[in-house]
Amino acid sequence: MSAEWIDVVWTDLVGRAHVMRATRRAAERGALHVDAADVRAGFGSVQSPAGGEGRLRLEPDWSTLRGLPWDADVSVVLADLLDEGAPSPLCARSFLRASAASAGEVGCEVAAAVELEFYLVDPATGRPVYPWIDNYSVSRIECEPVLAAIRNELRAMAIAIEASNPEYSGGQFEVNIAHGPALAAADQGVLLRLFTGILARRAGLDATFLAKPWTDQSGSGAHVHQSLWRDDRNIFHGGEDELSAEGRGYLAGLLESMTELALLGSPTPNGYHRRADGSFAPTVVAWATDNRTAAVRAVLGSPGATRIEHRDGGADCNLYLTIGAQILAGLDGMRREIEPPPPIVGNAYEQDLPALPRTFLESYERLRDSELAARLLPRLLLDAYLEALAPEVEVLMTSSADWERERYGEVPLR
Amino acid sequence: MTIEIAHERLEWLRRAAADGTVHTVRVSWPDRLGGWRGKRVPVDDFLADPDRRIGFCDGMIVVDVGCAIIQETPFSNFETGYPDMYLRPDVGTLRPACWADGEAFVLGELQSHHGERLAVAPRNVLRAVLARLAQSGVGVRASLTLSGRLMRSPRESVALLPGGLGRGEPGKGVLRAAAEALLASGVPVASLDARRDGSFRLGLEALEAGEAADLAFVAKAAVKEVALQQGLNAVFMTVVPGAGRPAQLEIDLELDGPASPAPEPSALLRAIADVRALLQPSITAFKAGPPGEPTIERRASCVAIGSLRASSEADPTTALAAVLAAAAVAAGAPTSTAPVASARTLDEAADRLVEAPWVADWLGSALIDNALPLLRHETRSFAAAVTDWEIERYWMQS
Repeated sequence: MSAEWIDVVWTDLVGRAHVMRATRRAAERGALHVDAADVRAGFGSVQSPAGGEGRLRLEPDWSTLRGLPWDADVSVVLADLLDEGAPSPLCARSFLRASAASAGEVGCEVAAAVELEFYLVDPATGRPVYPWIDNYSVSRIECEPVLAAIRNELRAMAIAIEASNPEYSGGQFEVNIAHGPALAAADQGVLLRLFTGILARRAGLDATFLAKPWTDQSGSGAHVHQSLWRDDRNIFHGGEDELSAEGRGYLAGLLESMTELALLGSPTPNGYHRRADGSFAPTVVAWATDNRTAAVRAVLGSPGATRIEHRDGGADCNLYLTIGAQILAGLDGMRREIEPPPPIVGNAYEQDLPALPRTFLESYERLRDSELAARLLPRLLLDAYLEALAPEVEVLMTSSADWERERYGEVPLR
Repeated sequence: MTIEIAHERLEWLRRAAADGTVHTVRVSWPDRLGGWRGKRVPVDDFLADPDRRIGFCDGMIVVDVGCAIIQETPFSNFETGYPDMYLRPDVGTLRPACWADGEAFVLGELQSHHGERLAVAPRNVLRAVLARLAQSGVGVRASLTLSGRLMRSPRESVALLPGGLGRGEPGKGVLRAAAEALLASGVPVASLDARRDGSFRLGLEALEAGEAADLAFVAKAAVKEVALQQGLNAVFMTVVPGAGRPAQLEIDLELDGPASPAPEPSALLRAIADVRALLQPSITAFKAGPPGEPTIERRASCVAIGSLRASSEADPTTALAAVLAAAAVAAGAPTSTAPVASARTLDEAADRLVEAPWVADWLGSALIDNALPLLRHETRSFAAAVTDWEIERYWMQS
């Protein structure tokens, strides 16, 4: 009997991808389970009662099955988490599926695309593979074998890689994925993160999607481009360089929710270091037409190209939660027919606008206390997410960091 | 480029994609200092819509040599919000990049959101100059020669043998490998001159001026990439420690057309002095001294202007536009015996860009208005820097 393996990929609440390698038979028979505690665990060690919290069944979404180009005996499939046959409240992927489906109530489908930034790291130094800023350079070839593998191997897996380029920091790169249905967009982002790490390792490097790995380097974002389509027509397109009323409502919903839902896009204390004036990461709630200082950027043009770009999330966020919540917030704004404030002109960093949370603690409390979040998001999912991140508050409040020792210590400390 | 050439190039790419020899296209453009910027696009995506415009943050056309953005560039800054600019590929420029496994490249026109040519982009500046000359019935062919140095480190050059092979280099060596790859890519390398001190000159055949500039910048990048592949550095810094001759971009022009007047020599020198900041755009480039005196020869069918020089650090496209404009302005000018004063510093050279009205008239105010703050930034940064020389000289003695 030859081995035919399926790598079943599922994500935990904080967005990390886990892989269970199983035989096809086991995967097809529904014989795969994970502990609920592992899903809830957050960033710390798993804490669960002696009897366990119960198990969740991995339900492969066979529409996502694809072969691994570098291993003929292995395929990969994304999975949902089921609890007694129904989507588990802890399953962020199911949450996004449901969020996207809710657009059907207004006769629409959501199209989305995720731009992810990441660093390639020299394992020997723990620093970026090269130090020079060389944005868009096609002659920055040191890492091109890895980038070529990412583009070519992932395209061979039907991940719609459109382009790659060095980004605005040494060793930082961006990979663009073509837009598609929202769930597929998130799936492809999850797989991109997973396989970038694997392909980097194969080349003797590491990869990190951490939002702000180093103080002296740019942060890495997850920019989500989104639009709504009805009968093959982009309903955000309101004419030449115009956003439609529905588009404005959707955008207003994104803006209205941005502060209270910020924790979904930045789930760690580290993510808030990314927010700095002049960093191209948002610091205030603002939107503009094609302006990279604004948190939401309306990209206007042809019917096919018109979209709204939400720029707040870090590259390490839970893509299912982040995108799902943005969709619900956008649809909410659209249904209520709210209007956004006027678009800003000029530098958002220098305007007196409502600030986005600048600390993890503030962001955590805003989500915890948010009536909007309670209205939009499933209660059990929201509570579980907050519970998963609660230990980070304690870690943040009680940890001493290298920079504190260097800055405040009277003598050298380690 | 003619439609036939474009069609032929696309057909070549389709065949190369089908047989797997090309998997990636560099959809790309030269920046203001001749750096090669763009995105790598899977070949199937490119072929699905070769005319598709690709967006880039527009700040990257006005960055300094270290890719830093400054706020004084009017074209792009935090107040403008760094919107997208768009590259429309010019399929007629499509070629294999034979030094980069599986890749092809295409250059294009940088445009605004609404499809207007960006006046600040070097390729557009050169094309505007050429179009203006063409309106007067003048066609231009150019041959460009790049010089640089093959180095192991900032202070160690690779001793080169005739033909370009370095001592201790495996195989054919960087330079010959690069030259052969360029030829295989359709870049018409004419000559390769290598010296024991590690310096080399790579000459390209005479071509239509726009194509000459495109391929010169490609050739420069290709040499750098091949060197990197082999663990070395092809350096185009004008002056490096231990170097004899400065590294320069040599430009030879043929202006043909019945109405091509020869430039008046002193007027040409004066005009070149006016644009020196574009020909020698760095602190180090200025150490080479003024660009030198070109030769002017009226031939039966053209005017040949030779030995025009810029620093190898200059963007070939901008340099070519600048010297062409200088030649045009000097054409038919009255003879003058007044000495030509050359700027003593990069700051003074930057002043000359603004003081000579013809510069903005020919090259566009957008180019000048954005070059100027970047040149000032360069000089200010240098003024604020504490150099190795100062440390070595004063650290113990003061």
